[in-house]
Parts: sequence; C-alpha cells; structure tokens
Amino acid sequence: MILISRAEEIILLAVYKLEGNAYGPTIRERIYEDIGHYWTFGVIYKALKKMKAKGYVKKTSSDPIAERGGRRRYYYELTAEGISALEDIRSIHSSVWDGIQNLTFDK
Amino acid sequence: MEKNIEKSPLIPYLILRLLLKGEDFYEFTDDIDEVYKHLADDGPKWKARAWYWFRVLESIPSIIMDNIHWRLIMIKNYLKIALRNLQKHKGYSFLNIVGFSIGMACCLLILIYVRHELSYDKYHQDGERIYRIAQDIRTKSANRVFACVSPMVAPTLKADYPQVEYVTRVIPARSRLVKLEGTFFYEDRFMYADQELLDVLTFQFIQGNPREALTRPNTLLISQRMAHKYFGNVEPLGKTLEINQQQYEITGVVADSPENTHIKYDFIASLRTLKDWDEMSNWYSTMFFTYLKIKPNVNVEEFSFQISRLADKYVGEQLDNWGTVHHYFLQPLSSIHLHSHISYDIEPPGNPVYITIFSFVGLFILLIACLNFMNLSTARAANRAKEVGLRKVVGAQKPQLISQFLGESLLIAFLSLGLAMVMARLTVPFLNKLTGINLVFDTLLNPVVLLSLIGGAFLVGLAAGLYPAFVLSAFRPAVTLKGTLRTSSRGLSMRTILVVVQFAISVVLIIGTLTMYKQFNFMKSQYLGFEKEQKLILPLRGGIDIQENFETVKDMFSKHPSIAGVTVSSTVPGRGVSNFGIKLVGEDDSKNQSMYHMYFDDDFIPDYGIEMVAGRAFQKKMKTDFMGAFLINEAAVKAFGWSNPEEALRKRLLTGYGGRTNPIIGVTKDFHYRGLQDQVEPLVMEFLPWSFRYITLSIDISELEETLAFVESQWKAVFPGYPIERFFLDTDFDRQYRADEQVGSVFGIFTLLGLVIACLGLLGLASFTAESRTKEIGIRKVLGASVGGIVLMLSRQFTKWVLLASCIAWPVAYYIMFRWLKNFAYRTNIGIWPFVLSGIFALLIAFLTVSYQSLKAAITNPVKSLRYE
Repeated sequence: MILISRAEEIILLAVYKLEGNAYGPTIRERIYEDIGHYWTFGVIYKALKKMKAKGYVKKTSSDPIAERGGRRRYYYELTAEGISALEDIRSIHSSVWDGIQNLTFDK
Repeated sequence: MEKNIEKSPLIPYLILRLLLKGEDFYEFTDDIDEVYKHLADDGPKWKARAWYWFRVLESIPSIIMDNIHWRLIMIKNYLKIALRNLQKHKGYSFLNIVGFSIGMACCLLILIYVRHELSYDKYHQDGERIYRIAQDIRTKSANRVFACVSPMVAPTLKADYPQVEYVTRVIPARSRLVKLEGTFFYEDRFMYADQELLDVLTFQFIQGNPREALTRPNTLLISQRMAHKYFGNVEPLGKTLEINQQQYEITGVVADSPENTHIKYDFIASLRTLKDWDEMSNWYSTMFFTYLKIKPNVNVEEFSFQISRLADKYVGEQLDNWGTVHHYFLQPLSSIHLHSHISYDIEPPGNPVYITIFSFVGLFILLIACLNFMNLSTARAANRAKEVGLRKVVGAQKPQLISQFLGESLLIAFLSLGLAMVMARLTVPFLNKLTGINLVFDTLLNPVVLLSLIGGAFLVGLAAGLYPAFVLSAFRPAVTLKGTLRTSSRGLSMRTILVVVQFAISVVLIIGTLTMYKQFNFMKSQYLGFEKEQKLILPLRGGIDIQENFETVKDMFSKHPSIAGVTVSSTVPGRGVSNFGIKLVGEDDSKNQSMYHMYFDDDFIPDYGIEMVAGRAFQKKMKTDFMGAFLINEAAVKAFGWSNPEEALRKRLLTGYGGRTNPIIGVTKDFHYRGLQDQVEPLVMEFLPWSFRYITLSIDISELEETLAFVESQWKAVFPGYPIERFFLDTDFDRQYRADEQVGSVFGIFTLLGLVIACLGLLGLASFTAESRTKEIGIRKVLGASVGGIVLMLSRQFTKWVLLASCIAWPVAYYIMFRWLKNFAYRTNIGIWPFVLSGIFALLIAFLTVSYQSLKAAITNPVKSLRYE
C-alpha cells in the first residue's frame, strides 16, 4: 500500500467535499476553510498534476463559460483509486491513533 | 457585464507565459483571472491587482519545481531508452564506445604531449621579462649562430644598459666525476653560474640562503635528489663534495629540476670558482649561455636594437680588421625550447613541426572516430525507425526527438571520455618509455583542463550526433510503422562518403609511417665514410688527462690479439664537434671562416678507414705532424673556394683556438661526423693531445666477453679510481636518430589505432549491409548462387570504396611526406612502394573485416533468411 502525503490528502478531501465544483479557486478556498491558511496556486496545481499522473484524480474541461470570457474551466474529481487512497489513509490514521485518548506531555 | 471587463496585469501574465505551457498555462491564468475579475468588481482595483501579483509571485517556486520534476521524468525515460538500446545492441554499442574512446584517448595523450612541449620554461617568475642573449658571427662568406656568447657580455650588459635588472652566465659542464668517501659517480647535469642566476630564473630553495648561495668561489647548490643520493638523511648544508678533483662547499639545496625547462640541473657551482681562467676575459670566446631579466616596462624592441652591437665599443676595431661582425639578439626564455633552432644548445631543442604533426594526427583520429559514430548511428536507423514512428504517433515533436538522439550521442561521448581517461592514464607510462619524455597524466587533472575536456566531449558528441539525429527524427511514422522502411539511397551515399574519408585518412597515416621507417632505415644503412662497426669507445670522463701519456695508454690496450687498433681523439662521430674561427694565411681576412674542429692521433684515419683524396694522413714518424699540421675535409676545400683538393696542400691555416699557424698536409674524403640530418660541413683536423677525450678500440667481437674483461682490467690499471664506461660506436651514432625514430614509432601506433577505429566502422557497416540484404541473399542462394559468389558480391562494394579512398589519399600523403623529408640533408626517395603497400594493406584489412560478415550472411540457410522479417 502506497500512502499519499498529507498535502495530497488535504487536496483530495477538498476535491471530494466540493462535489463536482472543484477547480483551482474553489479548491483553494476549501483548503483555507479546512486548515486556516491559503496555499499558493502553484502548490495546488503541482500536486494535482502529480495525482492525475498517479490516477487519483480525473481532470475534465467544461463547456466555454461566458463569465470567464468564453474560456473553459478545468474541473477535478476523484477516481476510484483516489477514493481508496483516502480510505487507506483514514484506516491508517485510526489505527495509529488507536488507544490514545488525551495527548499529554509528562515530565 | 461588458463594461466590467478588466484586463489582468501584464507582467505577471507574461511571467506565467514564460513558465507554463499549453493547458497548464490556460488553467492557471483563467482560474486566477476569474477571481481577479470578481475582486475588481467588488473592491478597489489596486487591491485586485495586488492580489493577482501575489498569487503569481508566490507560485513561482512550485511552478519551477514542477517543471524540473516533469523534465527529469522525460530525461529519465530518454536515459532508460538509451541504456536499453546500448544493452540490446551490445555489438554496436561496443564498436561505438570503444571506437570513440580510443579516438579520445589518442587525443588526450597528444594533448598531454603538446601541453608539455608548450609549457617549457613558463614557470619562471616574470617569465615575460627573461631573455637569453645569443649572437651570430658574420664574416663575408659565412654566418654562424651561437646560443652562447663571450663571458664579457654579461658584465657589459649590466654596466652599460640600465634596462637590465639581472644578468647571469651559465656554462654547462658534462660528465663530472663526483667523489664522496671513496665512491664515484659521473654526473651530467652540472653547471657553473653567477649568483644572479637565482634572481633571473626561479628556483625553489629547500635549504640555504638564495641571497648568497653562489657568491663565493667553490660553492655549490645541489638538487634535492642529489642531496638524498650523496647524503641520505644527513644534513648536506656545509658539507663538501669533491668534483673533478676540486672541493665544493654545499651552500644550498634546491627542489629537483622540473621536466619542462631546457636548463635541467642537479649541481650548480658558483662561476667565481673559475675566476682565474683566462677564457673569462676573452671577447672572442663563445662558451657562456647568458640569461637576463630586464626591468618592467622596458621597450624590448628598442633595447634589442641597442644591444645588437654591444661588443663594438670594446673590440670593434679588431673585429673590423678581421671583417667580422658580432651581432647580438634576444631570445625570449619560453620560446627557446621550440623556436631557438641553434645547433649547439644546452639541451637539444624540441621540434615544433612534431607538435603540428601530432595535433593533426589527433584531430584526424578524432574525426575518424566521429565519422564512425555517425556511420553506425545512421546504419542503425532501421532498427530505431519503429521507435521513432511510435513516439511521433503518441505526440512527440521533432525537436524532442532530435534532443533525445543528441542526448544519446552525448551519453556515449561522456561514457567514452571516462573510458578514454582510464586508457590514457594506463598508457602514459608506456608512451614515456617509448619517447623518453617524462609526460605526467596528472597535468590533465586541473579544473580548467577537465572542464574543457567535458566541453570538448560535449562538442564531439554534438557534432557526431547531429546528422544521425536529424536523419532519425525525419522518419515519417506512416512509413516506418508499416515496417517497410528501406534506407534511402541518400543516406547510403552519405555513409559511403564517411567510410571513404575514414579510409583516406588511414591511408595517409599508413604512407606516413612507411615513409618514416624507410628514411630511418636509409639513415642507418647508409655508408658514413668511415667504419662504424666493431668500434668500442671508452670515454675519458671526470677530467682524466692523457696529454702526457697517451702513447703508453694506447700501448696498454693494444696488448690483446682481438684488439686490432687503438686510437685517441677529442670526439667520435656522433658526439659533437667544437667550432672555432680559421684564418687562411697570406689571404685577406675576407676568407676567414669558422669551422668545426676535431683532434686525433696518427692512428685515427687508418683505424676508422677514412679515405684520403689528397696528401697524406698524420704519421707517427713525421715529428712535425704532432701539433704542427692540418687535415681538412672536401667540404672545407669547397668552402675555401679551391677547385681541387691538391690546391689545399700548398696552403697554411691559422686556427682561432690556440693560435697555431700550420700547413695543410692532406684532404680527407667527407665523412659523416654528425648524423644524416645534417650536411657534412667543413672540418679541420689536428694532432692535438690536450683535447683527447675518447679512446677507440677496433675490436674483433668474436670473443667479446674475454676482450671486454681484458679492457676492463687494463682500465683499472691505467686509471685507478675512475669507473669505466664504454659503448659501441654504431649504436651510439644511431642515437642521434632516436628522437626522430621515437616520433616515428608513436606515429605508427596512432596510425594503427586510426586504422582500428576505421575498421570498427567498416565492420558495423558491413554487418548492417549484410543484415538488410538477408532476403536478397536467401533468394540468390535458392536460385543457385555459390557462397563464394555472394561473398564477392558483398565485398565488391567495399573494395571500390577503399580504392577510391586510396586515390584521394595518395597525393595528400605525397605532399606531406615530401615536406617531412626536407628536414633531412640526406634522404631516401619516397618511391612508389609506400603507396602501393598502403593501398594493398588498406584493401586487405577492409576485406578481412568485411568478409567475416559477408561469409556469415552467405552461409546462412536460405530457409532461415527468407523467414526473416
């Protein structure tokens, strides 16, 4: 099992939660809501491009949109591999955190 | 909405244009544009613009990282394909890489050699201000150039010319006998020099004070290795050494002499030691090499004009009376090794012609290797055609394909460079043994050279890869994928040209080698005008003087039946002759000449079998012959302008060395007292005992062991305390040709390597041709062609090419070798044989190379070959 990175996990979850409305600006906003600060566009596109090559996300282009001056939007959605990668990371999470109630620092 | 169309900021947009391509670019810009327009609608414009700027700027690092990431993946793919190709076609890859690296290794070795030759005397501090003063002495009939001048020149320069900062005299003295506590060694790298030597040239002092090391008489500097040889671990400073019966105090130890200086030293004695020598105030002597350092910012041209007649102020009147002009000139220190061309120098000079020859040989071999690579790569095109087709179908652009194939050739070039470095490192010691030059591989290991080597490999890879890359990337996918690609006739003719050029170069090199060997053989077998076989020479070194007792010494050695004759002389053929002025008595001074001199006893002419053309040789019973008569050679007769040798017998000469006036009693036939590179020049001979330095024994070599034992025991009895040295005249004489012969053998090796590389190319090409005609051969066999017929058919083509190559090479080779032979005064004619032989040889090699492949193709079962494809 190949584990995805934390950044990939965050982006994949953002795409998932956006439910079909995932493209550059919305993904960035979503991540901001999730983790409290903005990521650069560059970082987001870079990770998406890699995950597209790995098969976790699929990229589709919309019909031309007047609002965008007649340009297309590039939407992202999860593939089955993307979903199972998220499931994997979740089960890893729960198993590594299992049994830990309060994280305390004992002197 | 129309009016709200807000243009996005231009500069960040352009930055993105630069960094991103295609879909990535549109996605990025359109996405942030969308947000930007919302912001510009809702809030202040500057805020939106700032937002846009920041989003672009903060993304730059990750965009760059991303670009690198994907490019690396592509390169990884190219590399993988390249390596797979190397592995899959091991034969081709082997031919390619080995051919390339042999070519590069040759170039590296030549580079080391050329750098060594060019680096001579460049290490001295302020080297550009250091000069040697040399002179030519002009009489009405002759003009002789000397690298050394009178001892008076140095003090005169210092006193009369304020431009001179330091000046030093140097006299090298060979074969000194160094004595230390009962052990004896002959040392050759000994010289006398002024204290200012240490200011003019650069020496690295290990011990001692460079300010005063040579100020007192009988002081001596020694090199580090001599310090170790004579004193081991004992402190040498202040110790004494006995050299030629004189005591020297050691005042310093200097680092060993570098290889790249023409003044190699082990012992430097103070010139003050010789202060009582009468020669030291003689304006007409030419024995002192004189080096000077001029002050900075001196106009050298003006200065060299001023010093050109520096002796006239002191001895001008006398010189005028003699009709002689002493003309002085400066030689830049670093140019002495290659460009001095003065026959008597401290060390025989290097030959710039050889630098040119070898540079060209190196370039030629590299060219052959490059052509080889191009040839093999295009020949392989058929194999790669499908790959190219597929890549094009899935979207590869032509520039991408070109860079892929260029990358492959660069990979091979770099691999070959690495291999070539290893080869060169391993062969340097072998080359040193062959040439007698001490080349050091490590001189290549400095950053500048390494970088330029890598740059060179890059260029070579590019040059070799460019043509194949364009050919390969131009394939049309529709054709190649159908699998019906036939190599175009254009490609074939290009490859033919490459092979022809390769072989033409090889043939030139072969002819060069053959002609060189022919000339060396000619020089060794030519009759020299005297007997050089069966002559055992005993040099008298370390200051042995037989002036008084040479008759007894001769008697001691002649007491053996195998020794047919004993003679003593100042020199023997091939060992150098001295040059002095000669005046013809009773004639005006315009007939004055300077001529070579040789001194020997009455047995020399008969023992050496030198013929007389007029008069008689020295005779024992004629007491007047002893120091009272001259012999001259035919060349001297001609130089004096006499019509026949008989005329000489009535003349009297005055020699400049010792000032004796004596009659000429005989004329000898010209004999080669120097090697055949040089013309036989006028020679004057005298019976003069104080200069005898060699004993020549004419021996019968049938009982060599016993004779040598006898000679040794007699030596011990006559010269106790002096180690014996001996050599045979013939081998010693041929030593003069060694430098040229070494060059010849190195040339031969490079020729062979060039030929090997060319054959590798031919082999690859032959196998390709055979492969691509498999079906044709199968059908021919089915129809009843014989194996021999098919081999002949396949070889005929190559034969034609090699013959064409020879025809191109012959005139070129003739011209080059004609020029080379001009270096020798006595030369063989080039003749037709080297040309015929080189042609036959190239043909034979080509045929052998090709026939293996042809034969393989010809004996393959037609069933197999027809199923092919």
